[in-house]
Amino acid sequence: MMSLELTRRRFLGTTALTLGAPALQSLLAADSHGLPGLPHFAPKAKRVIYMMQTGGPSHVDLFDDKPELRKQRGNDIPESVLGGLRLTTMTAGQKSKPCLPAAFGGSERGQSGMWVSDLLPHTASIVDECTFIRSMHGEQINHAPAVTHMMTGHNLPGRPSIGAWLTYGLGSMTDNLPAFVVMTSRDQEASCGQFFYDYYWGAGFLPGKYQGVPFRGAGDPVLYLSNPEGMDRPLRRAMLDSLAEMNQFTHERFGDPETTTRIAQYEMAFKMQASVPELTDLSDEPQSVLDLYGPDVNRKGSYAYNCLMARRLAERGVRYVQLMHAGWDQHGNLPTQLPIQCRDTDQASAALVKDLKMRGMLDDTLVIWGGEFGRTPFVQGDIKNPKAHGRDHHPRAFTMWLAGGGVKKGCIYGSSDDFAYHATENPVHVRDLQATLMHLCGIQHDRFTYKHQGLDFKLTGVEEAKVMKGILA
Amino acid sequence: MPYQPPGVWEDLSFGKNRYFQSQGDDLHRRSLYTFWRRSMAPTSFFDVPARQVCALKPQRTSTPLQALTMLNDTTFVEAARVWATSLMLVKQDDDARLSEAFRAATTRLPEPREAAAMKAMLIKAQAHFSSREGEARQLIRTGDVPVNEKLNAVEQAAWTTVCLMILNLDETLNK
Repeated sequence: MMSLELTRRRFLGTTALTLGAPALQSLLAADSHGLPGLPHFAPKAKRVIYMMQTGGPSHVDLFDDKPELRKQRGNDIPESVLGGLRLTTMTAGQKSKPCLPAAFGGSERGQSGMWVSDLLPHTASIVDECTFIRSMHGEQINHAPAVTHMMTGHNLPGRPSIGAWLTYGLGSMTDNLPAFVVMTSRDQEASCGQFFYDYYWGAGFLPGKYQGVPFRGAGDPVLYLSNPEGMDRPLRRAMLDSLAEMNQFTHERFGDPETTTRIAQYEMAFKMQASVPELTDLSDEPQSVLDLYGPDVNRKGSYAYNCLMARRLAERGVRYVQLMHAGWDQHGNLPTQLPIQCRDTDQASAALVKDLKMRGMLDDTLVIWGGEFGRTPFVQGDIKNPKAHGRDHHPRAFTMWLAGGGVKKGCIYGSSDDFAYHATENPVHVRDLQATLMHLCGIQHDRFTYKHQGLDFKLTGVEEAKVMKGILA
Repeated sequence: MPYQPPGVWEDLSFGKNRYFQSQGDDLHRRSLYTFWRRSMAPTSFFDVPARQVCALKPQRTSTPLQALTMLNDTTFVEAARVWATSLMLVKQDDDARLSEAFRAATTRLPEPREAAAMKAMLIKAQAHFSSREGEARQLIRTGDVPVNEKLNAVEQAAWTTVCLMILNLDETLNK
């Protein structure tokens, strides 16, 4: 196995070694700084917090109030609007499709006059910090493909997620936490049937180290974070020192740079064993901040807890935080479940924006709130039976909001038609949103590619994606 | 179904899928037989395809999470301590044990400086556990395999530490 020949690899390996610690540091620095040439231009957002609201929040009830729907309440949506387009099998066979206007009250809020449902009083209080896009649209009509599209740029699994792309391109800003962290939560009533697939935060064909690291609400926040019982931290330290020494010998023997990477990864693991408990210890948060997020913040694994944790992660240099919240899928229980869902998420979503602003971090943190699609303006089920009706999936027009990180404050962008059915003015496709997100992070999306199976892949896919200039501050 | 931290399946499926660890011999079957959920790979697997799409070449994983798994997962800690007891039973001499362990993991004998480093680790671990017998007993209780009560607990824990280190060598993982 041992060769006396001085191979190129061995030569490079040992040469690097004789350069000693500075060489090792620059090797690691290259990793943490991302790709050469990136960012393409000065970024507005240094980090991103994506609050993914899976299930499909009803834009009709929450953000996109339509007088026409109120006027036509109970009448079928005209065929000219439906246009014979695909519906899910849950409503495709439903004989009538009566208009159901916003089920709860709402009003125009803030300077911008953005209409927000009364179910979201906290979100209503931050409208002047946000850009609301009321003309989002996509093609996918079922949860998994739509979430996959939103998170990875394609409806089929196997592509890198947004966070993987960003951390691959831009690197990490911390050396004791992962660059891309994911946290999951669900509605308290567990009324929602969706599962989360780990490819929603996967690395696809990028190297595995760029995949999102799930932080959990119960047990160890990171899997296997705790030493086995009976092995204390000083002994673990001694063991890792010994391991590093042995690996260093291996490096001298074979000259493989991957060996130095492994030494560094074990060091990072040891640092995480200290930094993660510090991260999740909320005792240094003043009561006023906890109150901002609401009472749920004290319950580990709740959406509110995750929102606060997102801010703590962002503060500590984590580049991309992906919160995955499930529970917006109200097919047959909208009048009862939507208020519960809003109560679970409204205060903490708004609190995160306010908290970032108080700390001066909002300007360079991009916050995104939205689901994989919206919901049908027509009722699913019997319009006369509010206890058992709701709305079906609807990707042709829905609403999302963004704040901070270089987006306009108090902006309402795009609109849907009179029935909130089609995105009409300034339509924003999923890939346009992704191109814009990249742009805010200093990346020109069509110049950031990865060769795989002979093709140059990019997040936004092959069809033209547009940066939405109209929402840039 | 190998060891897995509680709640992993439950978290992703919102409580609908529950994980039941195997008992007895089934617990220690080769990972080839481990069941995979479509939504979630087994937590202790690395260098594996994502399985949603074809993979032409395996990845070489090198991440902090892999390090934490290899260092702390019951599967590996238990393997280290069972390995430690078998080494203690087949060889009497420390150097012979270390040499045998290293060879089994890397298919070669250690260089003198590697042997010396392992020996130093062993001595450190022995000193550490000699004043902490309770902790030694905790460590060697990791996993379901019954503890060998005939062997000295402090020695078992010290050898477990060394074996765990050898399992984590770059050369062991990447060979």
